[in-house]
Amino acid sequence: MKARKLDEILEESLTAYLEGRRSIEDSLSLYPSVASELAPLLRTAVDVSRTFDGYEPPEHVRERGLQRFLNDARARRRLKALARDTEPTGFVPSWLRGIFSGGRMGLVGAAAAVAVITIAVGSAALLDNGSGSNDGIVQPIPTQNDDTETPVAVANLQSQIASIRARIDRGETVTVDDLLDIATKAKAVGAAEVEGNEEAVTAVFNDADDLFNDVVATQPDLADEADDAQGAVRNVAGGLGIDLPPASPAGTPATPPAVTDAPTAPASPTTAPTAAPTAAPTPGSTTTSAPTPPPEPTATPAPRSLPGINP
Amino acid sequence: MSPNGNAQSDRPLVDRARAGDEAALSELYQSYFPRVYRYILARTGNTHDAEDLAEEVFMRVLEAIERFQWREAPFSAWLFRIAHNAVISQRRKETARGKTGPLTDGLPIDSDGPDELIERRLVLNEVMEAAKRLPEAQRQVIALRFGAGLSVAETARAMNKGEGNVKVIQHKAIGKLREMMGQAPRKKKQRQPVNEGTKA
Repeated sequence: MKARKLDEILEESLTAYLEGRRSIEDSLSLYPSVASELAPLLRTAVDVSRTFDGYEPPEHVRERGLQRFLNDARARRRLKALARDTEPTGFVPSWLRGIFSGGRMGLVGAAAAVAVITIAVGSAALLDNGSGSNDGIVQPIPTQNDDTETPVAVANLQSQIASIRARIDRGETVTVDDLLDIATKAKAVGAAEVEGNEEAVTAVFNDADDLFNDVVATQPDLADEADDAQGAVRNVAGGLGIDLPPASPAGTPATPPAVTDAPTAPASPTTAPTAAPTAAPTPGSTTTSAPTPPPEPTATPAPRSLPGINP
Repeated sequence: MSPNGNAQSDRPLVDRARAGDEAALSELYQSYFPRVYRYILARTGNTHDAEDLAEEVFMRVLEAIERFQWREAPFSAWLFRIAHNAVISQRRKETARGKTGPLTDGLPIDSDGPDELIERRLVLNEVMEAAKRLPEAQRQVIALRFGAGLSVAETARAMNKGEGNVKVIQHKAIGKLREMMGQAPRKKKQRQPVNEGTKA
């Protein structure tokens, strides 16, 4: 009973001291019946508190961390925007898909596609000319920008994939910026004229897709962003009629799962913060989110992660 | 001890940060970074680890902030759970590598000179040596209350425990620290009440 009371008095006196409302001596006067026990506890608590209060992160560390924090936040926003931008806006005819997928139509399909496009453009021009609404001026078909010429765009994407792949092989970490870069370069390939480069384009999209699967497997903390980037790349691929294989499930987990704390902790999943760890797949994507990693063997039994959070 | 007093006062700022508002993200970082740093310092006793891990914690915050839900915990409790898990994860890695981190050699603030600096390091090392021998829950309470500057209510939410339980653990932890630190007498300084309610 008395111990319980002392818990409360210690906490009340300590908070009053730390908030500058009351000195230690004032608290001891306020609680004379427990003053002899309270005094050494309060002085120890104040010692400990002031010890930590004496430390501040160095300014350059704080600034470096802030820049990294904001840069990462920007990259995540751009990645999400890119994933939205690349969402399919229309139906891709199966005959056009056949050009890439090597289906039954094959070259016949490609020839048919070219013929249909030619006829359509020609018809539009004739109709336009005939209507007189534009004084007989036929609007030119937009030409490709040099920056998005397929070989250049494909080479850029290949180069970026190779660079990141090499870093993964060296055990280095991939950043959100890296994922954004791949998605951006994939989008550039999607904007280029692909005819005649179907094989290279298909190969590079497959490589990108494999890379995202590897990132999810080796860096589960980047799973959401890798899913976004993979979704964006798959959307671009889908728009080109490229059939990528279903995304493989994530591999070996790299971070420990959230587990309950010390034995006295009344861990309740209903009060734990954060929602389910899986990300909503990007519309149009056929990827699957990384599953929650299984428990990792622990070397030290005593400390445990707090419940409900495993970002 | 909390810079906000009421955990809900963070809400507009956190909501803006969740929506991607860069100014809000920056403000949140500036507000919490020193506290996360001190919390990790209180857990590891190493300023280099505190610097690296505090930065890492904020990267994890970015990864998870969209999934944060107010109905489940105050932001501070949620944030310090991330910090706790980062410390545990780091400890596991170090254990696997067979590395035991040295105590701090960083620079504390308000150091008047080499003597003051050395004394502060000695005091921190003494506190850390004593804290190492506390049970995990007691170490956690000390770090959250005195390192992070959380209130008892926030500490309770961060640890998923009742406030009464946290007060009991705090009492036991302080009592044990007193016993352990009392075995190595050191220079006592004149102490004044802290006038501000914030640490950050």
